[in-house]
Amino acid sequence: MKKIILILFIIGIAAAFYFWFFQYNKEHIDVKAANADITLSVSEMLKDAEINITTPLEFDKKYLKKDGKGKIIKIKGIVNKIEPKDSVSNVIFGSEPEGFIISIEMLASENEQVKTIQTGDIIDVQALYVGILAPDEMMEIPGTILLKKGSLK
Amino acid sequence: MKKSFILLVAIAVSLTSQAQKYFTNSGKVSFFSKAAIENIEAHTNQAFALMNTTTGGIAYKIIIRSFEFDKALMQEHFNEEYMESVKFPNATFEGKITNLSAVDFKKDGTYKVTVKGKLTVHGVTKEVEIPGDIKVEKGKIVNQSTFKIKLADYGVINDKKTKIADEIEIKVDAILAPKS
Repeated sequence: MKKIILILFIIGIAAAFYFWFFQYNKEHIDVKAANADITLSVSEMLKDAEINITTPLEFDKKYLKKDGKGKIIKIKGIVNKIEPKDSVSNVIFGSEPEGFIISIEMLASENEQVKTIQTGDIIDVQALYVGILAPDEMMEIPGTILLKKGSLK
Repeated sequence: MKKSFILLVAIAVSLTSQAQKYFTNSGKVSFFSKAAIENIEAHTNQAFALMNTTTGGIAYKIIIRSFEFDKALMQEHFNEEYMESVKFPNATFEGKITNLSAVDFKKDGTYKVTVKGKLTVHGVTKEVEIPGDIKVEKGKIVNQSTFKIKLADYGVINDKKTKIADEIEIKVDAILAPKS
């Protein structure tokens, strides 16, 4: 009987360690390879932001999973601007006079390809939703929807 | 002729006043915390920052979920247990350089500054005084600072003290360009 208890105890400890180790070291989601949770156009997302201009938490609800993590968004639209950087570049959809822009920090692995994009190009980007900032008069920034880990589709 | 002159002056004044504001939407902010099992570090490259060189005003805005951790589990705990980023999605800072006369924005160089203002984290706003450097470099301004905050001051519950220290170190490194 003592032996059985000891074996069960060791199995329990091993299982707990196994679970902890793999949970602790689990990888971030591969945004580029994963299936998109939402597919939509730039104008649809901007319209959503306009509707929720005074209620950004409501906007968040639509683009966050139940556990509070950002959903993977596949978005299509006309590029307004590319902000090229050495390692990661930003793709901007929408323009300031319209109230909101969508700013996507692209993956470093996409950087060379992103730098070839021109204003006016129509592109598909898959990225992770980060959040929304309401227009800020003091900081003179338009409303901004932030996404990250973007890749061209 | 007179009209053209007035127009030129107006354009010049407009350009001068615009050059007084510097902006970035890709400022780097990171933080570090000592912990028993493993030190905790995270960073974001998506901080918004604005500086007005005439008034010395500085403002920062960060979406908390933009912080990246090496370990996915740490990132989950940070957002869910500590920062409650669904409820309090942003951190902001609004302040002013207290020794603005020490900075010559027309001359390249590094200037020591102190910024006083209001830091809002986790929905709690506190007056803070932060030391930092202003680097004027080729028409741009680099804003660098390292400072510490106590989690308890901002209502961040740290009941698992073995995991994270009560105080975290924050580093800011943002390159601001003239706002167009």
